[in-house]
Amino acid sequence: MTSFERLKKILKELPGIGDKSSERLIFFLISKGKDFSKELSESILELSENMKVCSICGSIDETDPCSICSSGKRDESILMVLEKPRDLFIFERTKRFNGLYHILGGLISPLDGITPEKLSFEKLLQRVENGKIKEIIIALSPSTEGETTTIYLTKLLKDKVERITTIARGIPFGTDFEYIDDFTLQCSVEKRQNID
Amino acid sequence: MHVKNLSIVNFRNFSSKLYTFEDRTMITGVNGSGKTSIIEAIYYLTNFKSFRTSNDKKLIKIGEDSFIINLEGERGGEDFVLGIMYKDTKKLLSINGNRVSKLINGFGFFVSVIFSTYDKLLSDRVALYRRKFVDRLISTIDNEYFENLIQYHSILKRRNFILKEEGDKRLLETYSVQLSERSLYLYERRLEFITYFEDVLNQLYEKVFERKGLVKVKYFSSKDGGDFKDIPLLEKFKTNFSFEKQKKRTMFGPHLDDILITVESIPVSDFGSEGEKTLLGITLKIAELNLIYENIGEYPVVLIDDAFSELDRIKTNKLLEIFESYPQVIITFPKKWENLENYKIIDLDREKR
Repeated sequence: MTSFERLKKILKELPGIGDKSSERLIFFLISKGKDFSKELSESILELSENMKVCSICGSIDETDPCSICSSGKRDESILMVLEKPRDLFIFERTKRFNGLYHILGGLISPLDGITPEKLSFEKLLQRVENGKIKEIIIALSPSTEGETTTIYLTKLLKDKVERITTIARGIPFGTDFEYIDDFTLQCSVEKRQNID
Repeated sequence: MHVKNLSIVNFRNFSSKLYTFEDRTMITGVNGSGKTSIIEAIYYLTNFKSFRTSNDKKLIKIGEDSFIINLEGERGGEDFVLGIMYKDTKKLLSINGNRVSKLINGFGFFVSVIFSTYDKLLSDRVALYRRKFVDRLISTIDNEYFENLIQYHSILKRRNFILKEEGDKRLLETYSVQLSERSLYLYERRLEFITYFEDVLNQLYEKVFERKGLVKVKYFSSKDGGDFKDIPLLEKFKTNFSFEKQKKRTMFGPHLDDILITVESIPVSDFGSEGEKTLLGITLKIAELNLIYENIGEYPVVLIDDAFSELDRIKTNKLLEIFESYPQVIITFPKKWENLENYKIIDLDREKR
């Protein structure tokens, strides 16, 4: 295997990269020269060496516990449950949520071998039992698996925490009704709010 | 809704063909001449599936690797071109030359209803065909029903898996909740449908037999062991946990329900004569035509493939009279049916492929 082919093979394992994209990337790297490639490969290596899984919430950071769990400035009475570390990055970007997180590491899907034991439910229960958590926000994807996991969690946490909520489903800002699917529209009517 | 031109490439026994249809078209030809294949190609653009086989590969002409169907027609006063290509297990759909990314977005664009020998199965002892018929029919006119039905079956599969593997009890309860929620809309729509159906069937039987109130239609709910009762499916799951555990699958719910049809107090599944079974099947399909019309405001194209072979001449002519009121009818007969003078004829025996 030539070095071209070797790199192409590994690049294709990245999400969203196929034959054409990987070739484009390789020609870009060649045109950028040796220094750029060195910088890139070193930073990838550094990332993989420094990244740790937080032993409390399951997110990824350079420290364990992660910067959020060890911050001391976050509201410890409210906890948001998410599917994967990337979701945490997305919620953090909004800078509006000041509570703690818990990453499940997937959604329940027994047909794919993902049973509840394979997800981080035990750890979540421990956090609920030891900590000061008053509210749990379940923020999972609006798929059938997401719904299964949400209902399962609600059953699991019932009577163990004061309040269990899920994020709202409905119409995104700046969208025309025309482009909303029927299910979302119906959901937005069912979950309508009072205007005070 | 109208079909004007149909072009097929490498479909069944045809290499490349173009057919033109009028408001009334009769396709004649000996057995194996390809009458059904033409009807099948038209219907393929309604359902993106054949009514004869679930294996799309069988539709490709032997020795080729793909087939193409293009249909030029008219819908709501506007002309359209609908095309599909099947290759490497993929179906590529286009409407007026624009690629449609998801097949589901093309459903309901071109609507046709097919009458065939398979309609007899609707009076079979097995509930499966009737249930599928009702589900498909309500899905054609109601997207929300279709969506709920798909989700129901996907959750059912998971719930059965947990029952079979004796998995987590809390997870089983979770699936029970999800299944029960999806069932609400399915029940609601099916019950509405039953009432409507009884009316339509009676009207049609009256036309053919000139007698009133012959047909009764009832919903058989597996959850309630008979007539539908307003008790959530979830309750049934709760009280029958050990039974389902023993059976290792979901024993109650819309996926096991049936539609009980009686004609003059005789259940259709007990019908002795093949002709009577056929007649009921056809009547159910006419009800489908009318239901679609009431919901989309346009009549589907009527496709009739050898559907009357078990009926006597009088009943066949009565049914043909009923079909006279529909805008477009495409029918196959082995030989020319003499009563249909106003029909354009496509004679496959005269054509060379």
